[in-house]
Amino acid sequence: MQKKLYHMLSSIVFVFVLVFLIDQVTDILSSKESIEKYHDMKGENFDVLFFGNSHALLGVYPMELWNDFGIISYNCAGSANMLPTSYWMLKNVLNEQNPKLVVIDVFMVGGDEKRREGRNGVYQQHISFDWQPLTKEKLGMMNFLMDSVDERIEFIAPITLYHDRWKELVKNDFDCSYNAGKGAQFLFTRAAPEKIESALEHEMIMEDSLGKEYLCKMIEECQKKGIEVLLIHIPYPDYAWHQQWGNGVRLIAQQYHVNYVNMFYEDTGVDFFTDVGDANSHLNASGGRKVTKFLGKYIQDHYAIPDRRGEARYDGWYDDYLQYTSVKWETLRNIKADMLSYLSLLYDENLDVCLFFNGESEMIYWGTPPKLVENIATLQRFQKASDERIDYLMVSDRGWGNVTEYLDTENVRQQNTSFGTIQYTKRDENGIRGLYINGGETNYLLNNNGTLAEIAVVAFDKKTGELVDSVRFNRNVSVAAQ
Amino acid sequence: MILFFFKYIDFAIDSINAVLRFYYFDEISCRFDLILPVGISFYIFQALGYTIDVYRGDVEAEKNFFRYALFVSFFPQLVAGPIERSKNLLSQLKEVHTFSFERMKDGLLLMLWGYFMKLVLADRIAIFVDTVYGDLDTYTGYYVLIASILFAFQIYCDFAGYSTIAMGVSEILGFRLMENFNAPYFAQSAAEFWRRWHISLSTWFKDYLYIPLGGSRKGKLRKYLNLFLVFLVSGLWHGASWNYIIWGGINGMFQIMGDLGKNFRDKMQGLLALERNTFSHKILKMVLTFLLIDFAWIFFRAPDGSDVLKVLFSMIKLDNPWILFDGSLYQAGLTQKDYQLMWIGIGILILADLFKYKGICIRHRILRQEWWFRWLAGLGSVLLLLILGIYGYGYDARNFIYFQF
Repeated sequence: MQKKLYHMLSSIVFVFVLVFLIDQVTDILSSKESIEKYHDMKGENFDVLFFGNSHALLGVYPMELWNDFGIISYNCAGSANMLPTSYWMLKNVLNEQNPKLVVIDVFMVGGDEKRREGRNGVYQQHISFDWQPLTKEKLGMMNFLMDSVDERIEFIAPITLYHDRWKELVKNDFDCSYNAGKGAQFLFTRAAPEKIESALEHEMIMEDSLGKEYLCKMIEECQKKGIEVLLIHIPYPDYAWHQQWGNGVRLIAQQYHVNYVNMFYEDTGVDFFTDVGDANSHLNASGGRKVTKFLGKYIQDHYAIPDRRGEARYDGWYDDYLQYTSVKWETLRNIKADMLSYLSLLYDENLDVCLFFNGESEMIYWGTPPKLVENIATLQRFQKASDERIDYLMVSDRGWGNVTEYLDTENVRQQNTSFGTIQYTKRDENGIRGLYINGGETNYLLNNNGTLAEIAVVAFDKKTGELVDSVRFNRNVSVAAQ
Repeated sequence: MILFFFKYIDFAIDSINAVLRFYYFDEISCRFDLILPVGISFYIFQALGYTIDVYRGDVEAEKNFFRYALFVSFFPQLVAGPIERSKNLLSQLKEVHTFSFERMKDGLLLMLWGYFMKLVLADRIAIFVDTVYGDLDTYTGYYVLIASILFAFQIYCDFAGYSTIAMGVSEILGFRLMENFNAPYFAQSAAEFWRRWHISLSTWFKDYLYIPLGGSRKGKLRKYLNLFLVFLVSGLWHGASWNYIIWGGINGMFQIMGDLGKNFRDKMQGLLALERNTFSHKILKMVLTFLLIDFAWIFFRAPDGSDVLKVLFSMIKLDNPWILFDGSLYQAGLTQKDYQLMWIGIGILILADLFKYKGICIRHRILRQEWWFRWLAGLGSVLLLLILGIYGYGYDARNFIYFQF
């Protein structure tokens, strides 16, 4: 009898140890995308949560909402998340969170798919749900969104999905870095949309759809818990059919007495020429920054969401913001090879920018760069420089809130700015101009070979005044980095 | 009749049609395209063996219908063997079985080894072999040579892996199934190979076909004819296709030539002053036997005659030795790490079979160690299987090859 008991106990302990080890190994082998995105949600309550798919994921930046409005928020949107997926995401998240406001982007409200089809769709669900513990809601998600037993098992025992990653383990699998943007992602590229379609505001599709059904469920779920709901429609350049579905959401909002901001018809400042990042019509970091700013103002005006800046328990957010901007600037520095993307992203309001155009370069009057300059600031004199083909320097000092423009004919000049003193010299006998900062010896307008750059950019962090990047662009040599 | 109907009816019609076509007659238009019941070849043979045993009076007829049904459908070995004998399994079904902790440990270790053979080795090797054999115009020379060598390990790990899992499950339930594989690639002749490979089938054919045909009792010629016939039928048992029959025929020829060449080999041994009991001589015989058996496997693996010719020509030419050095091998389905892991696994397999060949049971050695070592072995094995196995949705866990038979 004693032996039997010993065998039984040792078997139970063996199974426990085995399960523990499998769990540890699974943590290492799992793809880190889910934990990277949602890590910062754990252990903190957020006032505002954003749901939606890639449009919201790439278009709403909680760290900027914090910086500009003191809003504590998290972006729970996931790439390719259909509204049924968002519904299950909401149900899972509300287990832990008690937000004051839930913001839902209604893109794909006309969709009848419960999730994107195929293995890619399953994988997207893993990003959304892997970080969450196995709860009743997660089981509900599995049963509804997954078609086969094998797919469901992958959520209960993720090692069945990830075990083969032993071949590709890297440092990040053991020492994981986390999303510095509170769930948001950026598109640091700029792409001219192939076509721009715009449905008129009164053009609506009112048919029933699975997306509509689950949007209503999401609203009901929130209202049941006393959470306010804001429906938004983040702009995109094409898919008029989807826009018409989005227009129809106005009636749902009326039915449930919630606000609906259809940003297609609001003055958000989004310009599809500068603010789209890929062929799939996603907003880039410039577009996202504009949408976020608009949204922050709207939330501030319409909801009692507290400004948490100054509250001691949110002191960590200041450090988070610094980390967030450093990641952002690092990414900006890495896209120098793509001049048009780089120029479009100088819109970022946290950057002070010196932008020089060489009057002898055809880039001052031809092609896309002149159009992108308008995205940085409201300019008065660039057109004149472009027409007369003369050197142009713009100093966008957002720290002090002013923009200064210099044309070739003017005598220059020294200017005090929030990021230091700049000195802009006339062309010498070799045709060389100089741009010096704080009395330094570096001429930021020169290529490595000593010639004058066709376009030169010097960018500073508005908050810290530190140099973020300096770069020169030339038509034949795309980048002449410092 | 049941087996013929499900498995061979279309093959028979196709073969008759080929003859009719040759003589310009009208072909038979009917075709059945039946779905083969899982494991039909195995349990039909098991039931057949029982019937013959009863007919011969070797065992008593089982009066209990449910016990007989359990004997025929005993789930661990139902779909891929071993093909159990009524004397062994039926008698065990009559015994009272109680749970044994020791047998459970033993059975679990057996299962782990079986899963290692199947999930880590057979399915990993299959990726490379399928890639090469699936495109013999692109993959030539050394690709084909390596794939053909690897196929010998794939089919061994696949089939022996399943048999071992079945033995392990049975062991936990308190039943001891017969050993189905005994280090087959350590055989020093084709005849010995067949005493070590798929033992339950080989002995079945010996007991229920070869001996009733007269075995070796009716002269040399009749013995060779019987042998050849048994191997042709064995080939046909493996699949309703001519390539399996040819594979069986080649193995039958190996046996006959081995017997016929005995005097010649003795003479050569004397002439070359070879010592049969030396290690090097044994190794040489093992390697030669492996090459012969592997040659026959080509006919088993290649889907048709033209592919067999492509494989053979490729292996004769061997015109791309650089692929052994420039990393090209890692472009044939397996990544470099998978490829390396596969060879490490094959090394472990050979080592384990060497112990088995020497009569050492690693499993029992492990179970005699202190508890922490046993735990380490058990936990480590399960984790390694979970990590290194080829399974899961992203991968097509290949069906056990023998399920089709």
